[in-house]
Amino acid sequence: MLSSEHAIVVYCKEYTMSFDIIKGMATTLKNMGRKPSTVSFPEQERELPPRFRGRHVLHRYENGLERCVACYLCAGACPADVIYIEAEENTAEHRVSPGERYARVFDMNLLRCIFCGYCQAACPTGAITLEHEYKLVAFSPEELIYHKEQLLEPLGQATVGTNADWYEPPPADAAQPVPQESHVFDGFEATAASVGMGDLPTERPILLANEEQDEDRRKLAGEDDSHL
Amino acid sequence: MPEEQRDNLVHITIDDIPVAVLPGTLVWQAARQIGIEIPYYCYHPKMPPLGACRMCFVEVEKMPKPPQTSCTTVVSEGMIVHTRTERVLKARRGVLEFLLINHPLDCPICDKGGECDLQDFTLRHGPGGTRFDLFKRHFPKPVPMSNDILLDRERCIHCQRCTRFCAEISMDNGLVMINRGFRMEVGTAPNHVFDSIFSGNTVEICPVGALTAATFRFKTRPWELKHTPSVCNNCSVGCNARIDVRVDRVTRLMSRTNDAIDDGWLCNRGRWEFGFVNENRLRTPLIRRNGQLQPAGWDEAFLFIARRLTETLKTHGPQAIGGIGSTRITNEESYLFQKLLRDVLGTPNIDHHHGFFPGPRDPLTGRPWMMTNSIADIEKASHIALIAADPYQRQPILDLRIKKAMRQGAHIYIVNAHKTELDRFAASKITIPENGAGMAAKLLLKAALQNDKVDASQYSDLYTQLQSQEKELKEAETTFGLEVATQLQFLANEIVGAKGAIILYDEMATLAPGCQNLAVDVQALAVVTNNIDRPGAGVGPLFEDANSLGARDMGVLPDALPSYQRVQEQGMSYSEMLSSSQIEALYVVGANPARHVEGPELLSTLEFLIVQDVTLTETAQQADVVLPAVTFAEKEGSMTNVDHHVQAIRRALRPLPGAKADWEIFVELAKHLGHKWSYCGPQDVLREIAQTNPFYASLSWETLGLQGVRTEEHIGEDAAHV
Repeated sequence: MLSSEHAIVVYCKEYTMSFDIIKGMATTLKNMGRKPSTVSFPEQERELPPRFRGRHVLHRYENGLERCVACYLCAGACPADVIYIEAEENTAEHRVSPGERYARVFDMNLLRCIFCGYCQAACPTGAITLEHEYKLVAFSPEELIYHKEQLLEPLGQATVGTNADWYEPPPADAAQPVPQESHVFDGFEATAASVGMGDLPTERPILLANEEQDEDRRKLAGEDDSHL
Repeated sequence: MPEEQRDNLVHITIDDIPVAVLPGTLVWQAARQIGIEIPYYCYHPKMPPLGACRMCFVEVEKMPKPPQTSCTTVVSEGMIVHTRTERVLKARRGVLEFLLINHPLDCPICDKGGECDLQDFTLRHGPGGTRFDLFKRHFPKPVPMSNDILLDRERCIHCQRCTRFCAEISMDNGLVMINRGFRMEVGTAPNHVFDSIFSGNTVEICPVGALTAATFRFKTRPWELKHTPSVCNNCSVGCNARIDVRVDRVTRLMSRTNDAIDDGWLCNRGRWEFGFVNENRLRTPLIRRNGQLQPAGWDEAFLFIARRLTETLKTHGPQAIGGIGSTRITNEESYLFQKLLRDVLGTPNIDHHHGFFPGPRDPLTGRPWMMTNSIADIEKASHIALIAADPYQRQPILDLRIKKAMRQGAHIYIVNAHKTELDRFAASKITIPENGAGMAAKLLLKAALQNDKVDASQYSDLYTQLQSQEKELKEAETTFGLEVATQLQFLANEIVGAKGAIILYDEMATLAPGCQNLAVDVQALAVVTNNIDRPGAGVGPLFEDANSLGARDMGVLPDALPSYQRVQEQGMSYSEMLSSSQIEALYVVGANPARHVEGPELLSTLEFLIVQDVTLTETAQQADVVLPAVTFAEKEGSMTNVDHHVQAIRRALRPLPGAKADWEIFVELAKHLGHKWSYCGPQDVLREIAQTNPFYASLSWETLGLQGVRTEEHIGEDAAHV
């Protein structure tokens, strides 16, 4: 009787088996001895990769000021219309973020969110990141509209979050930029965009060749006492 | 070939595309006509070209080698223009690189982000990166220029659009350029605030976020806004505006160019005074029970009103019902209001708050009371006389139009008891005593009739009338004083000999004591001096509110039906209805007559008061039934402005839940009173108006379009349509 390369006929009492069936059964047998990949939640939890995209967190600087300047870029980048922001002016008495404005209202409708991370990519100050919280449950849809207090990291905590995993770390000799509370926006102070992800060098030599052009900076820094 | 170019156009070629434009057009405008974008900062179509920003470079063959600025170059026959050569592109990148050197990294916190010319042009024409690694210059910011405007000196790119607007268009307390060179900055004169009523225009024309509005500060981003073309509702000029709405609140109004009305500008009242749309709104009907106004449902309210009105009709008859209409609701709604009162309730008592005009039409010319010239005609006048009118306060955009006429050589004459903003531009400011406008008009008329060039024999009736008032006129002359009397004489002579004189007076000035004949006399003045129906000449009242003229056209008057036809039965006027004990039931729509009565309360003999309004006004607080209406931003309809442009307002917001449009309320109420009207919407009502009203003949919702239509009375079948 002729036999092809693929078909090895096994004589058995009840039926004939092809090689593919044997391959399948071998796979089953191989895995029978192995440990299952099931994680018995909630007693155990799966270890998440560093760039896992879970619930959002709004970050702060080390001196306690919020990073978010209510620029609306995250709301604009979001493909699912999740974020609703209302901005407010920072005053001398009530200063929330470095710069002119902060987010008075920052609502996220997590039912709409697809956790794509576009908001994290769009944020110019590294304020919003997607962290590893994924256990989001509620008994009603209203409870899943997270407000700013629920998203903001508590006072005293000042982390960069998963931005450290997504972007290059800052050079070792660069100090974390500490935002000043003045109204002046300078190259090495925390302007809205110059902070970035903390990867810009913060100390730079002054390369000015023209003294006159530097007049304003000297005056504001108090170095210029020519008026005395 | 010479024989092909018989038209008066100039033929040029831009980027190998031939285009024919009118002579005097700038290359930039010609390029825009065929859809080629040339970036620009300092140029503005309504201002003379400057050429300061050096952004709009193009290369023109046979002109000097460096690129030319297209905003200052006038087209000439056979010109060949290139906008995308290597040199032009390099120049644009270079200019943008220079502008970005000191421009702060403020995009995330700047209000202009999303609608910023610097952002847009850098993206499309700019260098890919920066070579600047020094420190940018810094200034303290923001600097308040006024209560409404904030200046950010770091963002300013010195295009001078704002300062040129203030110097050339609005010509009042404005922004100026201080210092020169790298120290140049925008500011105000020392100890001055930028408190012009046109300051909002500088925010709109600033290409970057240097000038920002305090009311709009940090409210939203441009991409979150929904834009609706509509018309401003705050004065009778009816400037075209674009309502910007975020979610369910109006955030700002921006201007929308209509060369016939607003010339591309918008005053601060229109731009920022829309608080009545967002706040303090009535959300349910209210019915007075046990002395208190309590919320009720719509059906309940309608049944209650229908029952009470039918009772009043039965016991006291239709004469006991009165209606006070509104100058701010649409034409369609005013029409339905008077139809409700006249056809359904059968009462002739209907009026609204307006100036004093004897009769619906002027006895001398037979025309209804309105401006005989168009707003654009003001530019062609050689003399502009403002009698008891202050457009800067009441109709601000007309003030800009008068200044434009002045720049083209017109003389301004002001007859007013108070200081006005135009005083310093007036050829002659005639200060009359308080309430003296009526007498001043008579003196002007007398002087005009006595002028040699006027044929007084044609107007013998007028002359005899004046003669009979000789004593009062002599008294007035003495009160005014010799100087004022001479000035009035001089003004009358000027008007007689004028190439085109436009005489305007404020509608409400006719209500002052002694000024009942102001309208008649001023109109007569224009007629005897031949200043009617000629280009650049005209006369008319400056109406108070957005649809004052529409209310008159629609017959919300005791002595006129729609289109000023005679009534069969004269009704009570506004003040009569408020003071007569005959009125038992009053229906007040969009008006606040409690402000115009002597005591704090309306008549105690009034038994039933219905008030339909957007907020709880003083009158509404005394009402028996309050019906919540929607504002102009939440409904559609047509409104008629001061020179009879009929314009469409469009819905920018969803109607406030619980409130209804006025026309819906009228239709419902008519149904409850037994008359079933079959209107599906304001467009249907407009169609009916167009069929019956010669002023609105051939108008439909589609023809109104985005710019409105200026109409005049159609007399007969073949009268010309303007």
